[in-house]
Amino acid sequence: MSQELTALFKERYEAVAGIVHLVDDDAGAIAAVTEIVLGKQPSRIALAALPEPVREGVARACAEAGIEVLQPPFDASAFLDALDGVAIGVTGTPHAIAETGTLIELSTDDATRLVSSLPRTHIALVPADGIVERFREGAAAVREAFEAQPGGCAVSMISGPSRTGDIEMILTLGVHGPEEAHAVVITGGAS
Amino acid sequence: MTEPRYAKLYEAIEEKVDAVDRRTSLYNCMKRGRDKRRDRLATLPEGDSWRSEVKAIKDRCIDQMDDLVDRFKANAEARGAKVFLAKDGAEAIEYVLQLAEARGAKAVAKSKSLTSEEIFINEPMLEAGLQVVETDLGELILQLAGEKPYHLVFPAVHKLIAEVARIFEQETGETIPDEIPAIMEVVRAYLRPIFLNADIGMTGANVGVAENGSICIETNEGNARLVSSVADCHVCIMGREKIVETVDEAMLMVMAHPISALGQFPTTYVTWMGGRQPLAEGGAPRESHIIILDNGRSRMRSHPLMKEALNCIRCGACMNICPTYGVVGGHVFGYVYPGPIGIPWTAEVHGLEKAGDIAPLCVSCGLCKEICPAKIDIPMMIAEVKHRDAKQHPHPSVNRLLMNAENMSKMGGATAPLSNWALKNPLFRKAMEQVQGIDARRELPPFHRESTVQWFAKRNKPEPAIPKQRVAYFVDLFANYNAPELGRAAVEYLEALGCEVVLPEQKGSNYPAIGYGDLDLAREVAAFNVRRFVPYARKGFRIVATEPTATYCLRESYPKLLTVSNEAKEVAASTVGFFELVNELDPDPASKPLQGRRFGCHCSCHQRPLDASDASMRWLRALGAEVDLIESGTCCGMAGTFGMKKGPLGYLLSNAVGEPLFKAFQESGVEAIITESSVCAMHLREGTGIPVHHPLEFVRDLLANA
Repeated sequence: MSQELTALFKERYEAVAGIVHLVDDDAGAIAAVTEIVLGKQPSRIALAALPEPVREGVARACAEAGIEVLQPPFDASAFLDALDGVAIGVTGTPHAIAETGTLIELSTDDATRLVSSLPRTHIALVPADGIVERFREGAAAVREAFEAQPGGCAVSMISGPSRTGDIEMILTLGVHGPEEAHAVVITGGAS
Repeated sequence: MTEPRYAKLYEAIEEKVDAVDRRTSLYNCMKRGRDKRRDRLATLPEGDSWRSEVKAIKDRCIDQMDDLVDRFKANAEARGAKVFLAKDGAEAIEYVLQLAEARGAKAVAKSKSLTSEEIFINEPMLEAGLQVVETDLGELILQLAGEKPYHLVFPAVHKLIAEVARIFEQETGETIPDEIPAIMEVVRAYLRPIFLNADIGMTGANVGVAENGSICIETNEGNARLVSSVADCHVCIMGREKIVETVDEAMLMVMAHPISALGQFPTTYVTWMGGRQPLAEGGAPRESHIIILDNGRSRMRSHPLMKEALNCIRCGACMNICPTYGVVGGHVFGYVYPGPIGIPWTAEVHGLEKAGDIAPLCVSCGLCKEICPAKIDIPMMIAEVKHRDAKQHPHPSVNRLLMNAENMSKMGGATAPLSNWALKNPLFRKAMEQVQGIDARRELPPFHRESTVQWFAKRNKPEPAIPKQRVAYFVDLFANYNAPELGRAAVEYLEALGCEVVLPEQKGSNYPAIGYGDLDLAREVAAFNVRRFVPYARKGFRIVATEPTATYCLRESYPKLLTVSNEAKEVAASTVGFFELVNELDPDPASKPLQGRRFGCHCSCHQRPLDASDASMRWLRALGAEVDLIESGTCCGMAGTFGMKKGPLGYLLSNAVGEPLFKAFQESGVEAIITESSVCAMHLREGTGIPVHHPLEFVRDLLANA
């Protein structure tokens, strides 16, 4: 079941101009993210809402390559300026929807949302067992997130890179946010 | 028609029709929207069946609107948001200005909110010394060009690529090539500081969710994410009708909206926000203000016909399919809310007069209703607007003439063949054009001395011992007065198939009374016909018509007009398409008199919700013909009697609408066009030069061979 959903998610995320990487585990995820990052040679990247082992591995790899890493805890007075110079944002998206190629990012801080919405490249980390099949099934993730956070809460559904159809109704990629959108899917070995 | 009130409208239509390149571009855009939606629906296992669910949810939520607003408010406030119920635009604007002052705000970054345009909030903010920048690309283009929205979803779709490049060149001083990617680079750089320096981020909301006090915002660009994350103060302006009860219901709206707009599923970003989260650590406190706007919505809800307008989810599909919008665009066909749904909304929030100024652009083809994801009966609401407007501005004389067409038909029949000579006489037609407003170029069908009803009354009726089916024939005007041979063919064919046929006393269906907006007359005629047909419905008769608009009246329009008793529903339930019945009675005809013939089928707009011409095409194919459905995706432009009228709101516009379809038929190589609509037939015959036939014209061949 998970394999089929992963395959469908890959097909649909790629159909909306996203790029999918299938990896077995955390180590594979770290390697995939690091490869994308090193390939672009940025001066600074940002990480947010990542599972601890992956955050730690990516941060270390970047440090070794001399790439600055902006990561929590973020300092409000410096954050926006620092993020402005970031070319790649990496965030954890614990859920996804296969039918539409949609990632579901949860946040407790708007900084996470900015890490995935400002830089030109976004890399999302998603566990294969977090993928549901149909769009409407995504309601559960939204409901649960809001139930878990009684105060301020935000859930962001992301389906590929940013785009616009405003000029002559012709869809064009890469507007204010990411023009490249990666999804690293951790399959748990069943890929 | 030459009503002084519409002088500017006529000029505007003429200008838009003349601008051939621009309207070709608009037509192509709208076609792209329709086609992408159709293509996407083909990939969904459930097709468009969710439309019924959208309607059911919206109907229920609008019924419970006040309660949902209360629940939303309580839950949003529990999350730390401030919720303000604004009675009207002035209250909403006052709230925002006071908030900006209290916060010492200087810069406002906006993401798309047509609700904010509804109340014209930008001007007072600018006057108060605030910098206000639209970050949605379409809205930004409009802001820089100083224009109003042209389309609900693509507000600047009328701006060609080169024009957009010039707009940004003027704003930034840079030279920009005429390509979208280059323009986007400039826009990205231009808006980045706007996003990052905003004191107030102002958004709309596509949906509000009562269950958890959250709002949901859809964008493709990601600008709403930025606008609602950066600034410490977020303001959302949302109409109170946008609130649904559950996240699940909201997900359906979020699905229905972009699929209907452009075949996208979903938009790139769907953001759900409740209350306000911190931005990093050690920052200033963050605020969320949600302004729930009434501005006439509660009043709309109290009117049985207008209430449905609140079901609108702002997808713009209605304008993608509207034939006249597709020629003149949203600046002519709109005030703030453009297109078909814009007419009832304008009437209710901006005033009847403004809506009445543009309502004649609706030719009542009904296509908007067929595409609407919430199945809103937009045509009937527009008819209601026209009806109300007519109390202040009497119906133009040509419309009154056409709403009383049956009297003309009776007179034409009684004075035939003299009447037919007059209809062909250029001087008479010129006079008719001047006095009555019927275009002299329009070839009108002849009248006959003996109508179908008169023929039927005089003849000896065959009495089948046990009829296979008992049928009541709704003959309507054309088959009665102009083509009694068609009426006779219909009766004789049904009898040959073993039916007993009756012709109850009846008036012409008079759809023009709906189309031109005299609902008193429409209800009168509807009641007359329903009362005379319902006894037959109760005796198990099937009711048929050979004119699609007549069938549409019986099935769709009359039940909407006559809501007090159940009679109209009974008549509707007994009404069946003529060829649906024929195919039932004779699914496998023995002879193939049409072998080797190649036809193109035109499905009239009113036929689409009936059987989309499937039955007549099946019948023709069963008789051996090759038949292709040829369409532009929108109306042919005749729209009943609309194309008969002189001038911009008539012949001129109807031909501009028809051009792509005429071309498609001419390029198809078919030997003849088949359509059940007598009026579409006129228009296609003149526009293509190809012969046009009603399928029943071939019945003689069939009966001869039998």
